[in-house]
Amino acid sequence: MTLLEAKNISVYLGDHLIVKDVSLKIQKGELIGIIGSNGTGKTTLLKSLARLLPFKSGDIELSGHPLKDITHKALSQSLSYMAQGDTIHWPLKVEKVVALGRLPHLSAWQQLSQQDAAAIQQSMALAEIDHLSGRTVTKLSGGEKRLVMLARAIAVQSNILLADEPVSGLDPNHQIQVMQLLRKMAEDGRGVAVVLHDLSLAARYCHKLYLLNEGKILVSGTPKEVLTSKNLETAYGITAKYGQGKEGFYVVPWGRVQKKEKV
Amino acid sequence: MTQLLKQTPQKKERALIPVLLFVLGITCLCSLAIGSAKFPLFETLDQLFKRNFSQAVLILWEIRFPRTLLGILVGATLGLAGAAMQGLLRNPLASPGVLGVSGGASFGAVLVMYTGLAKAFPLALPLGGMMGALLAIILIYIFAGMNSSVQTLILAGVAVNSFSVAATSLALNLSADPHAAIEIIFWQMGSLANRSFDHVMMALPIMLTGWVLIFWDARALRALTLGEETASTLGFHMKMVKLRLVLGTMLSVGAAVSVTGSIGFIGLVVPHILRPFVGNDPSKLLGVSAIAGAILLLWADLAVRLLSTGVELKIGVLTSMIGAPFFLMLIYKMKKDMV
Repeated sequence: MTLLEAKNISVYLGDHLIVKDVSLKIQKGELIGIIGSNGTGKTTLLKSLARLLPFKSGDIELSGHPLKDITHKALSQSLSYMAQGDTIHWPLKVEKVVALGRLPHLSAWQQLSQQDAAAIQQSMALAEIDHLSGRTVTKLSGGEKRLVMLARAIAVQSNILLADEPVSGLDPNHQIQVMQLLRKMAEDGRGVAVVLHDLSLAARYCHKLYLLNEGKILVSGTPKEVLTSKNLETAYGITAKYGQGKEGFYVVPWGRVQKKEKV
Repeated sequence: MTQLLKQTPQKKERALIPVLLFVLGITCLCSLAIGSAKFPLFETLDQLFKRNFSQAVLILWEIRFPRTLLGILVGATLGLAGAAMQGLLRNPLASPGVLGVSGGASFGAVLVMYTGLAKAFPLALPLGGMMGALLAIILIYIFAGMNSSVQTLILAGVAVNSFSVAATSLALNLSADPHAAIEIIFWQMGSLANRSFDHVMMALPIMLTGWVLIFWDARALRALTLGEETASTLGFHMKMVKLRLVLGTMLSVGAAVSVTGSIGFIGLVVPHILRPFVGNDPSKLLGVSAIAGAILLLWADLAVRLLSTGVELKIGVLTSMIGAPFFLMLIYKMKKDMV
């Protein structure tokens, strides 16, 4: 079942065409990875999917309905977005930041219900940040902040989750924890899309990958179909080592491809 | 014990509004009781309820009541608008004047004084101020555009404010009547003295409209803690949120400056003092800043009454004299926190 679908969208930032004629589907039960080198339009694409940036051509549909026709409230309940970076302007307590994820479910003057409190507690447990309860968020480390932001995004309990570099700044243990959690959330019936730079994690945990190159989708498919040496050379200018373990295929970026001097 | 420690800030938060309201109540009684004319407050209040209009009753009803009421309204507006602007801009150094409407209101009132209209009928002064504030709002939106970012609005506000200051200086420069020039200078210093119920009734509806617009978006201010983009994915139409908050601030502050002149620092200082008591939550800060703004302005007005001997000490001078060192202390503390 398709939860969110972009059909041939093009997105401009100012006068620059950043995303060119991209089509993408987020299906129920799938964790998809959007990968590509710096400046290829991954974040711009994700923002368009979250209706944060307008697209010039093509269309985006949420469960079959044009995204532009969905109300702010309805969209915020069905789609949760975790931004790149850890913008937190005021020194709130961790649980108060996670509680912001319940705002889409509250009417103007409504207070948090027991159901909301349970959702907050559950999200903190899933992101394994229970022990940070009572701490001031601005005084946490970069990795801890990232986990708080993830818990905030999970607390929305939406059926679509878009996360921009959710594992940046995390140690390997927490990177694996977050990727396992995102995959489990997808397999529990949600559609999850993440922007990733770590190809090993992308290969290991994503059901499907979209490899962007200069704003266009170079290739999409299973990690094994996408992460070929030819595609990695074209998109990143790198070589990689491959292996096949019991639990699947893995890839390790290895070296840079030497550019041929023009004569 | 851990539970108790966790609950303490919540209890502090819950107790804050009743405590502030109690202090406001006591301050109001002081504001009604203290002044150059001495009379027993409760007896005079009793006479007022019995409609026994003695001289003391007339002073209480015609002078002290409007002055106190205006102190509450203007102080609340400044506190509320300060908290709203700091929340919207996510900047603890923002103040209600940041949008530049105060300058417009000030110039409107000064023009009325310059042309002599103020002497023709007393309400010309606040009316002129409101017209000036309205003109400033229109100019800011014409230059910045309806869909502009808050930063663009502030820049347009700075430009309109600078022009208003220049035009005010021109009026002073060209003023043939030295008394009018002095009157203009004194008015700009801000005061609650000699205001009537007409001033209150004139400013009240506009201020209330501004308050409603600001309180409407209390939740959005909390969401803005995570930045504009994330806030809009939490169900808030950010363009409308910004429009309501900016317009609400412009209307309420424009009306306040029109009736009292410029009163600085209350909108900057009050949210700062209260932020730790509400767990730094920008939405909870609105209501308490409004009450505390009213208290602080009434205290300043009481100080003005008690300290004035012969020459009236202007309230705007006093708030700035206390507010400016506080502002410096704030910058020093921020610098220390950053190290």
